[in-house]
Amino acid sequence: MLSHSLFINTGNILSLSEAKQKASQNSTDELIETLKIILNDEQSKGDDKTIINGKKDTSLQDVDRKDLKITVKVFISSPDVNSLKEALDQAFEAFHTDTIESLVIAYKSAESPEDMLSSLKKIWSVVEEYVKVDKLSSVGLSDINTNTFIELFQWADIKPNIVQINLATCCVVPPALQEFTKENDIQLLTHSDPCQILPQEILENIFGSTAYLYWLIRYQIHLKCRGILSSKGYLLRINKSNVKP
Amino acid sequence: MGLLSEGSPLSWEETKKLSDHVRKHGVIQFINLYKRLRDRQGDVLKWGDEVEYILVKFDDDAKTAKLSLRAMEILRILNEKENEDPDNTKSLWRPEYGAYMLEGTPGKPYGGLLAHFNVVEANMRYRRQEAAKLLHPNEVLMSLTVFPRVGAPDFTDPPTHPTPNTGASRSLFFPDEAIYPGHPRFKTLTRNIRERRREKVAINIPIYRDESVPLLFKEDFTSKGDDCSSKVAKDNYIYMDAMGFGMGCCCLQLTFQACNIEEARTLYDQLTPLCPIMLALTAASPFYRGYISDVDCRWSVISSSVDCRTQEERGLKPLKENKFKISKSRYDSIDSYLSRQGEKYNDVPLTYDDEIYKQLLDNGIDHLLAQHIAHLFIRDSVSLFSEKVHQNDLEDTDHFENIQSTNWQTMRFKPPPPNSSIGWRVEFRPCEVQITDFENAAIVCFTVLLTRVILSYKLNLLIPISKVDQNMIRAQKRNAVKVEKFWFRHDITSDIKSDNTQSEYTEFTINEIINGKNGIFPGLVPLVNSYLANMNVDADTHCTIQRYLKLIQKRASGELLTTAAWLRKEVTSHSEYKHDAVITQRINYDLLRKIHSIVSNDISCPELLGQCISSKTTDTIPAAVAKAEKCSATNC
Repeated sequence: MLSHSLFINTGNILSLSEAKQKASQNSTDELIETLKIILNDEQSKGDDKTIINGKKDTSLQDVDRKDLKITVKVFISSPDVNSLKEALDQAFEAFHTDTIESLVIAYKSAESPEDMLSSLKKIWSVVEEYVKVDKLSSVGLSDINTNTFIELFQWADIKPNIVQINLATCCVVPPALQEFTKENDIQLLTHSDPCQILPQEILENIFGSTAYLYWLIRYQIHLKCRGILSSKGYLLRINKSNVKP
Repeated sequence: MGLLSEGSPLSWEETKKLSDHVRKHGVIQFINLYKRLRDRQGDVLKWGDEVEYILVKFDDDAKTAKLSLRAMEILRILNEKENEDPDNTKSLWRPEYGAYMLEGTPGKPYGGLLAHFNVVEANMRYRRQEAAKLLHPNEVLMSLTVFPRVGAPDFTDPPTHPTPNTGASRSLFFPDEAIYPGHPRFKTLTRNIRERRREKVAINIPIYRDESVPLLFKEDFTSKGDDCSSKVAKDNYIYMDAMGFGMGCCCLQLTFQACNIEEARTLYDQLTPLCPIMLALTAASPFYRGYISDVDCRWSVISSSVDCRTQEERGLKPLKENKFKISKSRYDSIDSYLSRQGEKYNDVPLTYDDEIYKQLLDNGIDHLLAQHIAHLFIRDSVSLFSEKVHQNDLEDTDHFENIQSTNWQTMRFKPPPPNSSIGWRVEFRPCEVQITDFENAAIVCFTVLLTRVILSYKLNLLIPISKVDQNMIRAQKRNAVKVEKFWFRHDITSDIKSDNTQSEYTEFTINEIINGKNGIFPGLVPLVNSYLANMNVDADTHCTIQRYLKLIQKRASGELLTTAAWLRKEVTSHSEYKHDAVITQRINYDLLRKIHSIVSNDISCPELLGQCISSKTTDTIPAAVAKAEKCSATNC
C-alpha cells in the first residue's frame, strides 16, 4: 500500500439518526461512530482515496450567511504552524466562507509549562494572523492552566476572548480564572470533550497501525439568536504512511 | 387570562345577539391578518414566562391563612412604574381572575442566547420581591396553584359571603368579591358563561378516600335552598359551582416567538404531546374547597369551571336551539395539529361551521389552519364591550382575539399583533406553578430548551391527538408521575416514514420519557444535554441549567416528590388531620406557613427540592458573551 495522507469531512452528522438516538454518548464515541458509518459507505470505492466526504450538508442551503454563527474547535498535538494553517484553510473551504465567528484551540501535549507557553505562542501567532485579516472574530483556548492562559493573554497582540473549561461533572471553576475572565471580558465557556478526543489506539484501530492524526476540527453551525444548532461535523487529516512523520 | 379591552360590557342577551357579528368579523380579521403576515420571516427567538401568584393573609393569633383581596390596590402601584417608563421596567404586572391574584412577566422577553437561561430565576425573584415590598405585615405573595381552602367557609380577607341568588357567580361557596373588581371582563365572563350555559357551572372532583371519609360522601345543599346544586353534585365528589374555582387557580405559562409561521406550526404540534407529560410532572393542586381530592392537577377543574356549553351542546338533549354538539369545554386540550407532519395524527373529529371553513379556504388558508380557526370559531363571544362592536376589519383584530383568547387550550397558536415587531408565536399552557422560583425557572428553562432540541435535531414527538387526550386524563390522576404510563413516540430521532402509526408509539412512564429507557428511548433530558454539549454555554449558565435538569430528572424518577405529593403528605401527616380528607383552618395555616418558610429559605425541603437549590442565576447575561454575540446585555 502506498503511503498517503487522508482528509475526511464527515458532513453534517445531525442527519445521522444513529448518533442522536444515543444522546448520552461523549464526543469520542460520537466521532468513532461517525467515522465507522462514513468509512463503511466508502469501503466499496477502494482503499487509495485521499479525500473522503460524508453526506453533503443541505441544511444550510437556504440560509443567509449573516444569520449563521460558525464555531470551530481545532484539536492539535503539535505546535506546527503549517498544520494549523492547513486545518483552518480546510475549514474555510469546507464551509465556503471567508470568516469563522468563533475558534477555540485545544492543544494537547505533555510539555512542561514553559515549553507549553512557547508552543502556544507559536500557535497563537497563526491565530493572530487570521484575526488581523478578519477571517476569525472570537478566538480562544481550551483546557489551559490559568497561569499559562494569563501569561499568553498578556503576551498576545490579539487577546484571546474565549477560554473553555471542562465542566461535564461539576460546577467548580478555578477562582483565579473566573476573576481574570470577568475583569478582561473573556467568555468562560464549558465543554464536555474528553481530554483526548481521538486516542491513538482508536485511531490505529480504524485506520491501521501506522496512522497518525495531524489535526482534527469539530465544527458547529448555529442559527444566530435562535439557539438552534443546524449543522455539526468533523474535519480531520490523517497520515497513513508506513513511517511516522 | 386574555385580551383586556377597556369599556362597558354588554349583557349576555346583547352579546348573544352579536355573536354572529363577532364571528363574522373575527374570521375576516383573521383572513386579513393572515394575508398580511403569512410570509413574515426571520424573527429570532424571543420568549417569556408568566407566573401567577396569590396573596395570602396570615393571622398568627387565630392561626388562619386567608386569601387577601387586595390585588387591585397592589397592582395599581406596580403598574405605575411601567406607565412611567415602559421601556426600562424589569417586570410587567397584570390582573388575573381572582381579587387575590397577580400575574407577573419579565419586562422584556428573553432572547435566543443560552446565557438568557441564567437570568430567568433572577427575574422571577425580582418580581416576587417587588410585589412583596407593597404588602401589609403578615401578607405574603405565593406561587401556589390552588389555595387549599378556596370556597370553604371564611376563606377571604376581609371576610365575604357568597350570594347564591344574585351577582355574577351565584355560587354557594365563591363570593363575587373574590373576583377581580378592577376590570369588568372577569365578572362579565362569569355571568355570561353561566347565562349561556343556562345553569351554574358544575365541577365534580373525586374526594380522596381516606379511612375516615364516609362511605357515602354526600354534602347537603338543599338546606341552602339550592336544588340545582343537589341535582348536579355527584356522590363521593367534591362539588364546586363557580368559575372562580378554576380560573382562580394559578399556572405557569410560556410563550415563544418562532422565526416564521411554519416553525410556529411545528412548535405548536411538537409541544402538544408534551402537554400531559409536563402537567403530570408539575402537578400541584390536590386540594379544593378545603378537601383533599383524588386528583393532582387543576386542569379538569378549570375546564368545567368555564364550560359554557348548553345541555344540547353537551349532548344531553337533542339539538334544537344550538348548532353543534361540542365534545369539549372551551378550556381543554387542543383538537388538531397544524403542521403537515401532524396531519395524519389528527384522529379526533373536529366540529366546525362548513361555511367559515370554506371562507378560510377560499382566501388561501390551508386546510389545517382553516379547520383550526373554524373550530375555535364554534364558540360564542362571552365578553363583549359596547365600544368594540364596530371595527375596521383591515386593521383591528379584536373580534378575532375575542374568540381566540377565550379558547383556553393546552397550546395556543398566536398570530403577530397588528402594527408590531412581534412575530408568530406559540403559547405553552399546561404547567402548574410551583412554590419556589427555582422550580419554576427549572420548568421554564427545560421547556424552552426542549423547543431548541426539537428544532435542532428535528425531533418528531407526534402521536395521535386521541392518545394525547388519553394522556391528559392520566396526567391528572393522583401520583401520576409514579404510577401512570403515557403514550409516547418511541423513535423520535429518525425520520423513517411508516404507514402504520400504531407501531410508532407505546406506553412509557414519565421517568422513561424524561430520563430514557436503555436501548429503547433516549430520554428528553439526555437529549437536552447532548444539545447543550454543542452550544458552547458559559460556565454559570451551564451550572444553573444542570441544577434545573437534575430537579426535573429527580421529579420524574420519583426520587423527589411532586408538589402535589408533597402537599398531600404535609396535610395527611398534620397532627390535627383526622383522615377525613378535610383541611381545617389550622392545617391550612401551618401548611402555608411552612411553604412560606421554604420559599424564604428559612427551612430546607430536600424531599421536594433536593439538596442543591441554589443556582448561579444573575440579573444580566455576562458582558463578554453579550459583546461576542453583538447584542446588549439586557436585550438581544
